[in-house]
Amino acid sequence: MSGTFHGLEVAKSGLVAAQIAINVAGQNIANAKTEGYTRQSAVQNSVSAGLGPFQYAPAGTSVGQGVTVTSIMQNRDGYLDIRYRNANSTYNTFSSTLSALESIRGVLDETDTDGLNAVLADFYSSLQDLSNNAGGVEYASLLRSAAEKVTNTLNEYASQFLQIKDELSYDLSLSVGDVNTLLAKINDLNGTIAVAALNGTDCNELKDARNLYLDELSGYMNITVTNNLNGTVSISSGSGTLLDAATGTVTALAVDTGSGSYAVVDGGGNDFAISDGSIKGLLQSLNGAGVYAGAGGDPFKGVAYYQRALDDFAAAFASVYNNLNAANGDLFAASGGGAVTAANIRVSDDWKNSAGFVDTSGDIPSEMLGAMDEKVAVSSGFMGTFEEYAALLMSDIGTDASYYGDMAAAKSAIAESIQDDREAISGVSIDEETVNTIKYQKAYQAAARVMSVLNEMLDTLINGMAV
Amino acid sequence: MRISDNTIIRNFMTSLSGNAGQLNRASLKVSTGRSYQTVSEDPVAALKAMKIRRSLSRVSDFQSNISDFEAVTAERESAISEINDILTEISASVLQAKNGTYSDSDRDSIASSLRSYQETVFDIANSSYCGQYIFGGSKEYDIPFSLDASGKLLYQGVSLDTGTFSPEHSYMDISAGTTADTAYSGAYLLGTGVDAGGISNNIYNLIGQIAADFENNDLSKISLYSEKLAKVQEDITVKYAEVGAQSKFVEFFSDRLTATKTNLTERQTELEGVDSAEAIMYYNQQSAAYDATLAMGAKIVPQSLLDYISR
Repeated sequence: MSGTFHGLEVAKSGLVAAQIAINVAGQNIANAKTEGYTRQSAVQNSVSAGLGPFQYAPAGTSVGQGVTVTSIMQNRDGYLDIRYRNANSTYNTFSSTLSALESIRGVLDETDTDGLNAVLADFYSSLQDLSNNAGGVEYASLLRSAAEKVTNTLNEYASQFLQIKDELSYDLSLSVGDVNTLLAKINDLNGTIAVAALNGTDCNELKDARNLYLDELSGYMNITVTNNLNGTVSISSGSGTLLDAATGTVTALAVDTGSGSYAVVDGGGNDFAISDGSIKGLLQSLNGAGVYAGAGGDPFKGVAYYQRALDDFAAAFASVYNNLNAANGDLFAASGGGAVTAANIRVSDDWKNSAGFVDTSGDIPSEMLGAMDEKVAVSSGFMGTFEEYAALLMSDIGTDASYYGDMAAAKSAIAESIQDDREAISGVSIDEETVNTIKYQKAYQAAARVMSVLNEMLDTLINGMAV
Repeated sequence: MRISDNTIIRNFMTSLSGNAGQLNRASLKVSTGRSYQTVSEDPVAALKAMKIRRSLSRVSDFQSNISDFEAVTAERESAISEINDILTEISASVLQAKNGTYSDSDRDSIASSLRSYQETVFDIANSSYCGQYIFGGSKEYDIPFSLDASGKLLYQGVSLDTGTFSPEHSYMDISAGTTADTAYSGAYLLGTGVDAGGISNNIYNLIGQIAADFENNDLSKISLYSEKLAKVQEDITVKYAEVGAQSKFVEFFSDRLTATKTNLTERQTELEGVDSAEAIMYYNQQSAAYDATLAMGAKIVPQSLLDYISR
């Protein structure tokens, strides 16, 4: 037998639950466009009739005690989070590599502008003229200015590569700094969430913020996130732990260039392996030495590859023409002495002072001309003409940039589709929330109606009955 | 699948920026007339095009070589033809001088005209084109002919009557793998050595000998001179034909190079260029798609159930 005012209590719980649900719908609508917001819903449970401390079952039927809101739940699928973060890491590897390759392509691409291929063609034409007019000193000076164009182009390429390297390494240090900041922020949120969990607060909004940071972090590197029972998360990646929630310690990362190549190291100076993400893309774009990579080196063709390939070209070009001019002396030299590289190759002072320094006697001019069509071992594994080598560099960057462009587009589509799946669960639909608002409004009205019916019943009982 | 507001807007933004990208590419194709803008858009075509550019620059080098060579050959042709004319004149004079009715003074005047022909031959043999001596052999920047103290002709400082001369060569590329010999030895042109009768085979020295004999009223060798002149003139005619053949040979390559250039340019256009009608059609398609996306965006973005509920 239920108490006289039992019905009033039940109706009141209905009012309260509907009110909370309307507030949740309001919160959802308010955050419909908030980045990282996860749709919430009020979890309602019916309350069963009191199971009192009776030795025997109470007589008659018992009615439940209304409704209660047990929690405000986030609609989120942890598995999709993992898939999204992996896809996001992979996508960022390709997109950051692509942007580095595009800078390199800007240097080497001669589709629209003239570069190394064009100046070599000029050099060839000047040799052709010199060999047809062996005694003409004016042709020797034309050849010298064509040679200066070649050396200037090589210098220019070398300095542009250096600049690209600078930009990439700046980018790398910013990215690593950002990772450290994100880890610190996540660590802070971990602390707040753990304390709030003890108080029984859901703190959904803090979790949203933390998830957003985790998504951002996954763009920099591949991470593994472990959810702990107290609501905190621990993060590890390639080489080990980045954030240990139990102790609240964060691994501080730094960029190291000590070994001649770029590396990310932990606080102890040990290499921290990074498997994916934009940091991985930057590292391979900086360190990738292609065919020059020794055992354990990065065989990707990054800036390091193009720098060395260009140095090889400069050295081979200088040595072939210096040998042909052996009777008079070196035509090309390194400014400041030492080995000839793309950055320091110059027309030698002797030749600069006198155009006729180039040997025009006998067959030398036609041998110089022939050298342009001869196969030269410019670098290990390459045997071909100088012009073919210049075209090869363009081909390398063209095919790589094209591959990374296509892959970046494909990986972006994958990440987008997982994001769609995530949104399907976590995203707010204003239509839906409007329906919820109406639904709970009606529920509230109905509960209120029950209350007024009960009121009338009590009125009848108390005032309408003659005693 | 449950669709949230963000899903619709994010997907819309993705398609919008995708369409804008396509539209940009399409408009670049129309405005630049190129089928690709960077090497990575079409690496294979870009590299083929690079190779063609290289071949084209080679072809224009060859063409400029050939036109230089053609000009020099034309100069040689006219020079040899002038020498031939002079020889004809001289043969006629010698025949006349054989005639007994000629007085000594007449022979003197013939001798003096022979001397002036001799000078003309010397000038022709030393003529130059653009600073290069056309009969200078492989040393085209050094003046080829000079005279020794006795008025005998020297070629590159060596007497043409007594010296020995080897053929000279100077090769010029006129096509891939084909060269033309641009050197023309002056010794070969004017002849070398003396025959058994002591008569020079060299045109300049021969004229000198005849003139000297006339000046001395010595007619003993006059028939031999006539024979010699006939032979020398025959040789010059052969040399004239040789130069003509050489210029024909080069002209053949010049025609071939023009054809090659046309061919290469066509291939380059195929690889790098766009069919403008096609490009404009493509642009219009992309532009229509972009407009449609924008119009759709205007419809979907603001709508939700809230817009339809009246309170």
